[in-house]
Amino acid sequence: MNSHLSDKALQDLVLSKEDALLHPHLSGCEACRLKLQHYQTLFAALAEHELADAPVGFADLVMDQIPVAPAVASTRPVFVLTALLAGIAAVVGYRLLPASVWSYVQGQQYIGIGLLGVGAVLVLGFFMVTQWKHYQHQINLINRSGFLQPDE
Amino acid sequence: MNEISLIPEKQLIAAAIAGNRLALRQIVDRTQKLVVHIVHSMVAGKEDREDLTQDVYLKAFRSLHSFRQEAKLSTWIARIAYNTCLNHLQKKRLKLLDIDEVVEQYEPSSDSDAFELLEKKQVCAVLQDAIDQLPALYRTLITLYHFSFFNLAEISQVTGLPEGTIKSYLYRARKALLQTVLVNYKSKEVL
Repeated sequence: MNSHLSDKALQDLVLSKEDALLHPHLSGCEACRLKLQHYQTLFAALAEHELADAPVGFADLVMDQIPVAPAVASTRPVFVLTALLAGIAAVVGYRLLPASVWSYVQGQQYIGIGLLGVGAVLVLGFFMVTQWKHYQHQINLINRSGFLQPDE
Repeated sequence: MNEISLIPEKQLIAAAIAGNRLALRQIVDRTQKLVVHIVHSMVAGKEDREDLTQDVYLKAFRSLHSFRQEAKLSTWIARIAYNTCLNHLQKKRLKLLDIDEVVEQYEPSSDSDAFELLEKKQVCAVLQDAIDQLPALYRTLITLYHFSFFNLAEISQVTGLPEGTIKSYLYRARKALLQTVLVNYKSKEVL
């Protein structure tokens, strides 16, 4: 007498989706035919079975846990450091420069006004360039995400 | 249908990395069922399950920038879910698969029910109970293969187990499932 088909062989027959009853052993073995039917029923039940959905409001709960990304800081550390160094240099310069130099500079007001004007333009230009770069970066990210693509 | 739900995975990930909360939300919407199923199949206890499920997304979003898109997003998040649960079980000194328990519970097979014809409708009624009685690893593999429709290669990426081992565990899991179904089926019929 042939030995019975293993559970693995029976499962393979179900998974193969071929006509399992064509298998030579099955035509003469009622026990294996019944077991095959058990597996066929089990696989069919598994295919129809639905697991429970995620609880209602689950996604909201997850999103509540995720911190909102901090806004891009307008004063980056490099700016703060530069301003600090400039302040120190000004104080040190004021203390170290001889009084004669100061009286000369104060006498040449147009130089001071000119320097102030050039400095202001440079600072303004610097801020405009950095803000423009930041804006371009944000626009690129939004474009890459495709959220703003028009409907077709 | 929501417009965002149509966005391809790659663009969705780029937007999520940029911190777009709509994109992050969409990732949760697309994968929550899978994550919940994995966590539920591996961990018992309502509170632990809720904490772990949220933990999975926090971990995923923190490391989203390192996702190289070699695998599908669902496979990647499933792996995070699996590892998060595995760490939880290890902390609690629980095993994902207790070989002794499996051998004792399911071997040798009982032949007492072998000559009873099963009807799908009745099997469906007792199937969830039978799944719940499986060892956690078997339950997880059945969930990934039959309910989340992952193939063996994807399950291997999620669990880190070799494909041959997964295949073998799936055979054993279905055998154990059938035996439990037969026992539950019989007891329900008596009732």
